Amino acid sequence: MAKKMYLNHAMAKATMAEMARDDKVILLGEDVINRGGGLSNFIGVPKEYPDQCFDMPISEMGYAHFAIGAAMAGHRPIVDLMFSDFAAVCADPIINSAPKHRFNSLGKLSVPVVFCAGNGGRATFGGVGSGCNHSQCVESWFANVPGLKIVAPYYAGDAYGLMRAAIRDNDPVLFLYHEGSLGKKAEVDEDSFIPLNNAGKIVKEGTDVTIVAIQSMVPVAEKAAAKLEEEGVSAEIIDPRVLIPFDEETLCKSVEKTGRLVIIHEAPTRGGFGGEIAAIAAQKCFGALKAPIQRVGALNSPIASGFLETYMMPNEEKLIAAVKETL
Amino acid sequence: MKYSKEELLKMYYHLARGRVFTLKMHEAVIAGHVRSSFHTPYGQEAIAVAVACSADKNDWLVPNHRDQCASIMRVDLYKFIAELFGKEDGLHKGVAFDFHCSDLTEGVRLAPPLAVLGGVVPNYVGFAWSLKQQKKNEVAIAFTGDGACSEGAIYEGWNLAALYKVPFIQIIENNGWAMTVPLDRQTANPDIAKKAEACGLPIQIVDGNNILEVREAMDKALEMARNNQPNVIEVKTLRWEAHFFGQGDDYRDDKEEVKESMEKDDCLKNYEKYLLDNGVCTQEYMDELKEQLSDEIDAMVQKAAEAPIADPKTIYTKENIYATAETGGDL
Repeated sequence: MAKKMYLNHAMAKATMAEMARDDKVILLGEDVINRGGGLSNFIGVPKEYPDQCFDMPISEMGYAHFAIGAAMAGHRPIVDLMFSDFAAVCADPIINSAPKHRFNSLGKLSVPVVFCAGNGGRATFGGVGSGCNHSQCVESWFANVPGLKIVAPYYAGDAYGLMRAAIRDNDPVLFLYHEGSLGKKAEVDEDSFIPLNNAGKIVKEGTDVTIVAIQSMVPVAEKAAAKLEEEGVSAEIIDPRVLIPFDEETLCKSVEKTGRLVIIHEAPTRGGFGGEIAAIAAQKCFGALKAPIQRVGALNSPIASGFLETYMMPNEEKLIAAVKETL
Repeated sequence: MKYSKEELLKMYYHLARGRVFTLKMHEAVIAGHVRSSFHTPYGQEAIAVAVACSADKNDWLVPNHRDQCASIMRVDLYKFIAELFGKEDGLHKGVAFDFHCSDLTEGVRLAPPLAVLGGVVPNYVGFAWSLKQQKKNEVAIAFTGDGACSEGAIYEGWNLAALYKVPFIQIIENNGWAMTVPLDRQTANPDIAKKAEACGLPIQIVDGNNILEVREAMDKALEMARNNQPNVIEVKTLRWEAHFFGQGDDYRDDKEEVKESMEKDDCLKNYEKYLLDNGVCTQEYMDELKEQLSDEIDAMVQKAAEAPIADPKTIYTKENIYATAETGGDL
């Protein structure tokens, strides 16, 4: 039975469902005991599962390594990193350690850790804007690291099912939820479990153009598509939900149908994951393309705090303009 | 004498084997057999041997770049040499070299170090925490050098170890050099362990050229760790070679220092003198053992040199990279 809930409640419920299945599933990070994580994204978990929740000092590099060690010895840790920007101080465990042990041991060791962090800015989406060290989208920093899987949902229902799959996956997973959706309600089916492979979802069907929208850009694309519809343009929207492994089949099927592709994400355009998606389309379904692929992202600039965040972010107008470029 | 004759001779066997192995690997580097940088333990062999002799077979050893002499006490020496040579017969078919080697099976329990320095401490503090949670009476023992102790991850690890009271021991091999940077240009406090003490960990500072002193410190450290008191041993020694074998000594201001150390402070010679002075064994016994080890290792070197290289197609597989291969994506 689906019911409406906030993203943080959905993530917490998914975590509790997995903790109930397996007492080796543990949660560690800052503010875990008192707040259910720095952004309360695991709200209620420590109360229900006090023996599986652990507070950590402000020491992301230390406890990210700690979690990998615990995983090597038999636990299944979820590491709450609060803002995804902070993943930079624990890039070494996330990049150099967790994804490498399996290969170095030729398949003998596994490191089932979920690194969980809030991605993106909030001012643009009705929240506070905390500037260049609290509002970045970091997925492409990590996309070039074989051995690591990257989950990036927006809606609470997707986050729920993907969180369960991420916890049960036997490899390291970077789980990037979006800060802008923390305070938003969506339908959540508590029986759902969304496998990390083939996770691309057609959010809206259409025939003239494919829009791939990552995280916060999904609702932006939905609004833009409604406006385009009024102008007689039928847009299909794909929410990839998981970036690594990327669901190439869903992308190519859609592009073969529409012949046009626009990619939108909140990260800066240059070096962003949109380049990877564009390359997949160019390589696998070039023949279907009737126009050059368009990418829409943030300005290639650090993010300003507060009200000024909005200006540099992609939005409906920029997306509509990009779609029109392809028509 | 604190240790039985049998125990003293066991330590001698591993120390002599470690030294013979080290010198044979120097020759193998010159011959072009070793496929990556060999961070030689030359002159520091006693530290790894003493620690590994003290540890229980159920305890977990995490060697650093320079602790091959502990690794070869736990894994097959031929496979280890073949790994250094990058061959299919290697412990990891030539994928891991020495600084990514591991074998977690019961009775071996060699856990993988982290080749980027520092992270090994918080990693194995977490590992030890998990052992404690699972009520296993096992200790995680990680080696680092003095150089690694300038990494921030180590301080975070010490803090977490003291907070969570885990069965963890760190051995700091303070050999006076971080690559070509001498200790007095790395830190204003030459007793590195005192920094760990400030985080709340008991420390011991001992002489690495005296195998029995290291052994006794390790026995004490294990007793503490088994009672969930993490602790640190700093072992003072001197690196005789460069950061890795073959780099030359142009960075050393004092060229005599190594010569003097080889004459006066050789951990092997020191221990041989102790064994002779105490009538534990004879010079002939020691000479014969070293000769026998030399022959054994020569044969392994030859076999490894002739062994084939693994077919890369059997190495780069989804199953080798991902435990849940179906969600791993394409290679």
